[in-house]
Amino acid sequence: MNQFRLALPPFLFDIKTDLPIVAENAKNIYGDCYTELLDENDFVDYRLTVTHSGGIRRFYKPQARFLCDEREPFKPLNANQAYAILEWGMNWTVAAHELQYVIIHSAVLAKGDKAIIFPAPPGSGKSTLTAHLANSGWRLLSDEMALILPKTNQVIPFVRPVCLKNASIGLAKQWFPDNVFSTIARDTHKGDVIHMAPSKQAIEQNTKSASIVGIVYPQYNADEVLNIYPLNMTDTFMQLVHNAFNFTAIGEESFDTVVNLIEQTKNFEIQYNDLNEVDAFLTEEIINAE
Amino acid sequence: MPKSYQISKGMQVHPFSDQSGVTFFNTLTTVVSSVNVPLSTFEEWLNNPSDLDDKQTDVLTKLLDQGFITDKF
Repeated sequence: MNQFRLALPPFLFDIKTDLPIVAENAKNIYGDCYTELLDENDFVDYRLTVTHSGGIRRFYKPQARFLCDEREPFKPLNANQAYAILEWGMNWTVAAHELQYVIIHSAVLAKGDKAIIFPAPPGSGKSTLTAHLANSGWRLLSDEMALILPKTNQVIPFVRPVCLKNASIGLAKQWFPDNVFSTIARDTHKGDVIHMAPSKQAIEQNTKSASIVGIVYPQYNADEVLNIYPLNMTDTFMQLVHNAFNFTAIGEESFDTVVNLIEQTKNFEIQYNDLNEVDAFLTEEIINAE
Repeated sequence: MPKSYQISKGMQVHPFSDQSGVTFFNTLTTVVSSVNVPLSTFEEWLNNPSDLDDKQTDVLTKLLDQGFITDKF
């Protein structure tokens, strides 16, 4: 078994794997956050394993299993998807266990100390938008989850790669040829999937929180120029709760956090087909707004 | 329909400052709900439920079923 550690503030993960594709991709994607010389007595937040399924499966259609402290939240996937199952497993681990943050399923990007969160369902183009902005002067805090300190508007970075799917894979490689990408996990339940490494700048600032000033629900629509719909606070609240991972687990503190956050943010739903127009809108109407 | 309703004990209520609505949090069940009217309008609904149209009555009935409001006697 290979064993390595990922220091991804605010969490430390120790990972064991017997699939070379997992360690190779993790080393490639996470750079200096990846280490192999481990002291098993060190405190870490989570001990994860990605391993071959046993028995004859190992030789006939090999599969990869993900385990978090010996629990297995997902069914095994094809072995070529082993790195993707690690990334999704880390998402699951944090979303299922962390109660000191209000966690929203959302991308988070910032300029200076001002952040916008982008809650969105699969297929909305969230990750493609995230990849574009993260390479256009915005700081990536997360592609997947906003970790909000309870009773504040502060979002904590959890800097991880951007997960791109299907047609977005070719676009991202064309737009950002110098970026680091994982191997492609083909034919997952989301289609073909690749992970694009966060920038050096994002990693260097991965302990620097930001104040949430905007909540934007993006929806890519090839036939639409930029359409902007201001959202009232009540509708923003209900959509945000719908995208919260741990709202009910945290309870009253979570409710207080979200309503107070929404009282302070600018809230929009946007339909777009031009990423540069979105960038200009976000900067002018939310980040630079008084 | 009873004469009037009141917000149940133990409910968190937040009227948003943009007057877009009121949101409710049941601290016992952790269920969340909202109505898209200002607090003053919602209070009128609670006090005079017999004046409401069918759609507004459905909203109150749902809040009643979820335990956010109770009969006021």
